[in-house]
Amino acid sequence: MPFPSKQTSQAPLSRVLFIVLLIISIIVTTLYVREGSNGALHALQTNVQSLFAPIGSLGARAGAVADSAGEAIDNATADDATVAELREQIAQLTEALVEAEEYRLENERLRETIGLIDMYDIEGVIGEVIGRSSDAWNQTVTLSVGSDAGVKTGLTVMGGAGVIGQVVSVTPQTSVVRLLTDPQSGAAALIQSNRAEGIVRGSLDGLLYLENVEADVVVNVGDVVLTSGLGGSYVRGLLIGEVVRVDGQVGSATRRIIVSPNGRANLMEEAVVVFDATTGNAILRDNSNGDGGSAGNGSDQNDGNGQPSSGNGADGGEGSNTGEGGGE
Amino acid sequence: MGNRNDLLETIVGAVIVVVLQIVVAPYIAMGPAVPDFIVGYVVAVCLARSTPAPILAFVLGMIDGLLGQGPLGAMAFLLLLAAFFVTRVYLAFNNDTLFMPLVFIGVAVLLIEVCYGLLMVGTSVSASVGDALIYRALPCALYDFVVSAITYVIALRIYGRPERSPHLTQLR
Repeated sequence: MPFPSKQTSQAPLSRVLFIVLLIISIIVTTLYVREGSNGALHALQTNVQSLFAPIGSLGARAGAVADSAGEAIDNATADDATVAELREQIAQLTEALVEAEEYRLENERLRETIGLIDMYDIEGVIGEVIGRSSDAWNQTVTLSVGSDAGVKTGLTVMGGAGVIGQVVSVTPQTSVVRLLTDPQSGAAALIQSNRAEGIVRGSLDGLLYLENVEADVVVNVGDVVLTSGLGGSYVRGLLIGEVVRVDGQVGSATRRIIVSPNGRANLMEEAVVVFDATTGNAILRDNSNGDGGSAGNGSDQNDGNGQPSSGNGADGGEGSNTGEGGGE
Repeated sequence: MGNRNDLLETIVGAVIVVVLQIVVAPYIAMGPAVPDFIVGYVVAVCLARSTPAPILAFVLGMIDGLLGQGPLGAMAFLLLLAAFFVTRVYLAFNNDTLFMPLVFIGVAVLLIEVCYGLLMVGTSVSASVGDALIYRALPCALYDFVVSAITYVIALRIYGRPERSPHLTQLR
């Protein structure tokens, strides 16, 4: 049964155009898939995203402004003039209060970030999140710092609580960070308490899975997971998260270990691109010696900041059996 | 493209849709589902105008690829196919009710999202096909369907109800 065509006179031209465009799109897709991440099409994609990232960040601001505007409109439409004026003043004051609250929260976040920088003795640069991925298949954020600030592809990125991802592309002014929760992400990790190594991977369901951990290793809920630095893709010794669930028994090859992610894209506003983290390396070095005293040192270093210290303290006793695991 | 007004309206609509995709889409995600205004718009416009609009599908598909991080050109390819088949099938089975276009929109966006998901699993995303369908393709298709249905109703107002094919009565 032939399909009917509305414009039969233009049909052959339209079909030729259709076929040509189809072929072009196949060629472009093939080139994109075959070229490396440094290829021309990838670069074009990065540049376009970088160009539109500031526009994208308007979305978040627009949402806040729309809320305030809606409230202001409600007030402005009151019948009585005096009441309207007073309401307008209230609206302005509310807006000012909201703005002040925004500054307070930003201040709090920055303090948290700076605290993290101090804790790990991080050498890096803080960037504002100015864009988010507009497609469902990639969990990325765009930061306001790029190669001009020393950011390079492959650098580790930390949020307020720990590692959130890795820089995957850079322009002079911006950088794109693939979050750990993205299914294309993977970070070499180790469990702080028993030095067992594995790989933390993102998934489509939004959870982080710790994989490739040896079946006989005991993993408990609450165990702290750190970057191991193996493969050089992530700076070692940084907090990835905590084990929140273990499905399956010790010895089972199908055991699933779920780690809590450190941040969600829709809540992130700032992040630190890590050039180097001295303390993180020191923690791992100390622990890998299998020396309780050394672990204690690591613990001392962190106690003041209240983060992964307890895990280190606990490691002291287990240091001996982690000498093997931590000897990387 | 049809007459000049249609062309202008389609271009203005396309610009609005691209802006919405950049500014709004990331912030109205519901769980794993991020709406694709571009997919919704192309399908809706093709149905409302009863013409495949290959240039619109190709250009917007390429823009969609440039804005996201999936394989460039893949969405253009899928939109071209969808635009072509959806208009052909619609012309054959349109019965002047709102139900049929909505069915075609639903099927088209579902197929686009499923095919795109399979492509992502095949090229970059390390996940099972089942996960890709459950956690991304289906929720996104549902979201796209809502966007596309709304766009279709608006497009009908702008372009007017499409004429039925002269062949239609012969076919049924």
